[in-house]
Amino acid sequence: MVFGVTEGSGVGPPTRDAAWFDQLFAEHAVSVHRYFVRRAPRQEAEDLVAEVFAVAWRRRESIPDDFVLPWLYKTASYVLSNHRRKPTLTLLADVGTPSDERSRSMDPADLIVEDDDVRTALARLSPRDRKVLMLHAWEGLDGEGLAKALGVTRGGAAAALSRARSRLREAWAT
Amino acid sequence: MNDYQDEEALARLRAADPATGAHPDLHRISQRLRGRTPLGSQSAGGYATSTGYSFSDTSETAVRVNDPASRTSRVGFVVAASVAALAFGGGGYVAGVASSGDDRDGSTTVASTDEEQERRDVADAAEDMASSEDMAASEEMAASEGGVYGDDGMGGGYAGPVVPVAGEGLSTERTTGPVFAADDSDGAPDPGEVLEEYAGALGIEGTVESDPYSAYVTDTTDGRNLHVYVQGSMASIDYSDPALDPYCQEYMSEPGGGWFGEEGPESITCLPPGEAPEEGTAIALAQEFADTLGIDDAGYEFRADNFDPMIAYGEGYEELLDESGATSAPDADAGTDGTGDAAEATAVPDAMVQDYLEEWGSQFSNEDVRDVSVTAERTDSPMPSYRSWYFGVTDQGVAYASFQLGDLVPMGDYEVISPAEAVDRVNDTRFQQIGAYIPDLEMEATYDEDWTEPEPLPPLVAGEPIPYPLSESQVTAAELHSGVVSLWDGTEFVAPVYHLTDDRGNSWQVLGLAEEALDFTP
Repeated sequence: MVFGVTEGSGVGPPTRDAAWFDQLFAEHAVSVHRYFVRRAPRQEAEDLVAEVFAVAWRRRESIPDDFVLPWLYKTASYVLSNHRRKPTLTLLADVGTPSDERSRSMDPADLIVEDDDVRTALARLSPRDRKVLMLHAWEGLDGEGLAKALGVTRGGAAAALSRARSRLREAWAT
Repeated sequence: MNDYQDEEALARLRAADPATGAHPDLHRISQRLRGRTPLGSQSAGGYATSTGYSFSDTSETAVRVNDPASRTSRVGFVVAASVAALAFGGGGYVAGVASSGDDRDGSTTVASTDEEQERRDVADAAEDMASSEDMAASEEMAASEGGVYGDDGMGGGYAGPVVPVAGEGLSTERTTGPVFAADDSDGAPDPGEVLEEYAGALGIEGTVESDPYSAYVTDTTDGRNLHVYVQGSMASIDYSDPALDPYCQEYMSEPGGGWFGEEGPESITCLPPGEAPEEGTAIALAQEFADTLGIDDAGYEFRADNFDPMIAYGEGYEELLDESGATSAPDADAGTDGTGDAAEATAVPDAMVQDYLEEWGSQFSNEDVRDVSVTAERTDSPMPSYRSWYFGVTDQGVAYASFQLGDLVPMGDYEVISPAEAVDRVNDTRFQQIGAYIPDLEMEATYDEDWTEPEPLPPLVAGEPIPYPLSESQVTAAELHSGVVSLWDGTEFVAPVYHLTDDRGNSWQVLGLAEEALDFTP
């Protein structure tokens, strides 16, 4: 409810041009990077971020105005799963690094979370529950944003989060 | 098994965030994108050699702005917006990245030593190799750009905080605005009593766990569960029926799936949904569910939101499936002289597109969507979208429901500071540590069209003042909205909140209530 305006700016939705993309990158690169830091070997995070933004530019007309970051997270999840499934993809981070040293299946519950209690609790949850909880706790997603990132309805996302929180609570208590 | 444990677990999970403090080398990422996107091409048209863009590091704020005690989902929604709320309250940082810097650019920082330059050349060469092996588009552009990228190790360079100052056109006139708060006339409900009432209505039988703020029960037979959270006189009710969940079978087959806690059943029988119900049917089922609970929906407007991949994935999602056929030969100009249209350059057939289609094509389908979201908003609320209800409905019934109960009542009109005073308040730390956000503006992003590259900072000189760049920006517009303010204990109220903007794409949100309207008693 707007009940007062002084010198309204009247700026409309931006066109999907280079300036828009600059802004998209500036606004969200850190968030997307952190998404990967949470889920992948850190040395690979920047390459993966670049992939997400390359896809974002290619599919710029597909990005919902109101859910840019959830869309990026969803794309990031695809990039990550694609990366895990195709470990032969050569990225700069791999140059000079024996490929067998790369962690191809980096599960935060196993490798990244340092808090033993949290790791133990997460380990008792299903991969989907973990995914939902991490998007909620780390990316701060909820409601419609969570739904968009998961690619489900808002009700479905809320139910998934509710269930995941219930299971985390149970896992924490036992 | 109580809410404290729930919060502790979530809080510990948040605290375990492996990305705390992580910050990418934006320059390096932008290099990865050269030739594949027009990133940074704005400053000189085509593919410029020196770039800059505004940058808001919102992620640190995002985690913290998300109040663990919040049950309304709204706080997280703000976080998803990424630019809203405290990101602005924190001072409206704008930063630039000293991006690019190839051999055509004499203005950007160059390597400070031969050794560094050599290291970068090796890295750049390696990148070219990597690009040529796996990224066709990158191959085109990397080769065209000579493979010398310059200041690889520079990272991002902040232009410093932007301090808002009131523009001449801003009014200095005060006004008044309405405040709404929870109706406390009936006192705070007991969560256990509320839970038992609704659990009884739904036939849920199990051991109730409760504390002064919440209560929880899982049916020992079918796993349906009910949560009640109480904040003052406001309550939220969450219900889910795992058997009706469209992903029930998927969950049950996963490792760790089908676990409903010590008091819950060992397993449940899923009721696989059929086709998603029609909107009218979904709404009727939601209303019937509210009626079963004895929750009065008078004054609420229901609407159904069928899953629409167009909304979830954006326009053109279907074209993705044709994307491989749609890609064309590279533009002869693009990427060869550095001035071609970078948008055209992205039309280069790209191995990654093929991967994308192969791996994700099936994701762009709504065939598996079997539930409908139903939203109910109270039409006479000062902000209908605030404290609305949500349902997930399949043809089998309500799989999930969330109610926000309790009325917001008008507290009267309070004095509101002028737009000019609001600008001063942005710089007042007393108003920067309590979140005030405007739900109507949740997803609005700033847009900075006129960014110019900041000058490189001077070197530090012993004994001289240390560079600490600040800039001022005139606030040119002030909009007064109804916003939500959350206090430390979870108390929320609706009050006038200013949305201030300048002409450079910065904006700030700040509480509009005058100090005379506030009680600062600790």
